[in-house]
Amino acid sequence: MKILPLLLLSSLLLTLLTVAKADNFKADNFKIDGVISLGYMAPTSNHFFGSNAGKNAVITENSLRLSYNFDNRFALSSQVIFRDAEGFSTSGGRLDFLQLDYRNSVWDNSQQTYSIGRFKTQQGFYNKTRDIPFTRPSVMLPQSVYYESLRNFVLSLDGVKVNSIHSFDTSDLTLELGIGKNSIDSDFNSIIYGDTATGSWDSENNYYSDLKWENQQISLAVNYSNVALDYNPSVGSYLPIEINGAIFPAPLNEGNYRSSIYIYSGQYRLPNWEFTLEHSNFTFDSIGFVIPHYKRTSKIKGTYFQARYFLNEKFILLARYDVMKDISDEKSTVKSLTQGKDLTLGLTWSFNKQWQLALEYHFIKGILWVPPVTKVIPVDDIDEKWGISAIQLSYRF
Amino acid sequence: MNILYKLLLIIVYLLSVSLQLKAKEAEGYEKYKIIISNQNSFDEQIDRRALRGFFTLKRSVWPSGRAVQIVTLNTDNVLHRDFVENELKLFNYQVKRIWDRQIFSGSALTPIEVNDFNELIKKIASTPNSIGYISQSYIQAVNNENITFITVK
Repeated sequence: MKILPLLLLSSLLLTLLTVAKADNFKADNFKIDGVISLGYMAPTSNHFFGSNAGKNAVITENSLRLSYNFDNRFALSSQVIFRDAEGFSTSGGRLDFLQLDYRNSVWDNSQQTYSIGRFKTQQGFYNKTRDIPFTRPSVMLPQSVYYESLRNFVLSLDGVKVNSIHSFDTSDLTLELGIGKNSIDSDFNSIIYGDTATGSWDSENNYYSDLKWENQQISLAVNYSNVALDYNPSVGSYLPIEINGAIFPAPLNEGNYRSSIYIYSGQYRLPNWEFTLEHSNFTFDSIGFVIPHYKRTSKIKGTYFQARYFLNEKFILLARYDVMKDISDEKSTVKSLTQGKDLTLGLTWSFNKQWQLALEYHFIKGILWVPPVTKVIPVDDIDEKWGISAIQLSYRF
Repeated sequence: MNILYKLLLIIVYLLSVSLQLKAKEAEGYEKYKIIISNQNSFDEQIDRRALRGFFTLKRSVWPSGRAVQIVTLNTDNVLHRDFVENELKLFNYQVKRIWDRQIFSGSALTPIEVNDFNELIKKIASTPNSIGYISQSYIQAVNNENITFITVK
């Protein structure tokens, strides 16, 4: 099944090249644009970027997008992302999406778009474009909903999607359904379990549904995603386990992740203010890995409230309070492992249409967000109260 | 359930405020005229809902199936802001965010932004399947046979 997506992507690329060479190629219908950005994040402790990464991280997020609209309702678009975020992303290029769209209008004042190929997963207000700095409210998204360690679960699908938008007098209603296989970054193993956990991942057919209503003042959305991934260990793959202060290598077996994610989103807007509230419910089954066939269910809930003030066309101020809790084991007395609370203060400065500088500081309590690999091997400097400072300069063309 | 109940109460309150604001809005006014390139085979009227759909990049094809190309003033131009808020009934920062989301997820083409209405008129005349807007005072400046005025119903 891995060959099918590659064949599909290859055929779409060939189509684009053929069209580009055809006599009726229209330059006006072809667009190239992109983003280049450079950032720096400095956690005060807790190895936020994974146990093998340095404490601080230089973040680069670069993207190149090509799109072409045919004259017969078809459109082809693709984006490649080069993202280096220490322990969280591969430093090589990644095909973010490559999709062929067909658009029509079944009902008056509506448009339906049918897509095939690799497309972005719609989830919450920010997931679809989470790697594009100009579309995020801050350098780091609220972890209660956009959990960085699990980004591979929700980045994009290789499959089919339908989007239907219906326009009313002053509002729009949008329904989107997608089904396909997750594309897994090659660094997913090391992010979750460290470099000793070698092996490969397969995705089953996963799906999401999203319903959104929006007018000038208000946006409301509800989203459900179902993700199922299977792990096949390499020979010699193991997980270091700490028992009574000593580290033992626990061989890794086949394993499965099964995840259900609900996200409820709301936003209220005024001429100079934007208030956002999102709530997430993750139910996460881990089967096998260390103990064959052993099933562990995790339940994580998260909520954030965010206020943005548009001082003028150039400056945006941000304040956000974000809470994430693991409620799998209510009896756990180690609160710092099962929760993450974050108060974020930030500023975005748009010099002009092309340049943007974002600055922020996170006051954090709890280590729920640090990658699982760090919590498997306790390190001496895990602190319950810690912080992250972040700065990012971005350019779009 | 507690947090969801509180969330529901907040939503109901905001919806009621929003409906009251809508009731108090001033009646629409014809400060801008919509222009399209003649290469479009399109009626001389456009529904306001379709207008909003085109300029937010949520609708991307004409009824003929050809891709829509939006031409606007620079998004920081006060006249563009005025058009967005009074014709589309949206906030400027809201439309910018919708554009970015549509563009960077592969759902729409980047709009063409120009510095002034003279440039916008020239761009519409030379760009097939395009749509833009001009203020009433520029109507006389449109003497290009490649441009058609359409009214908003």
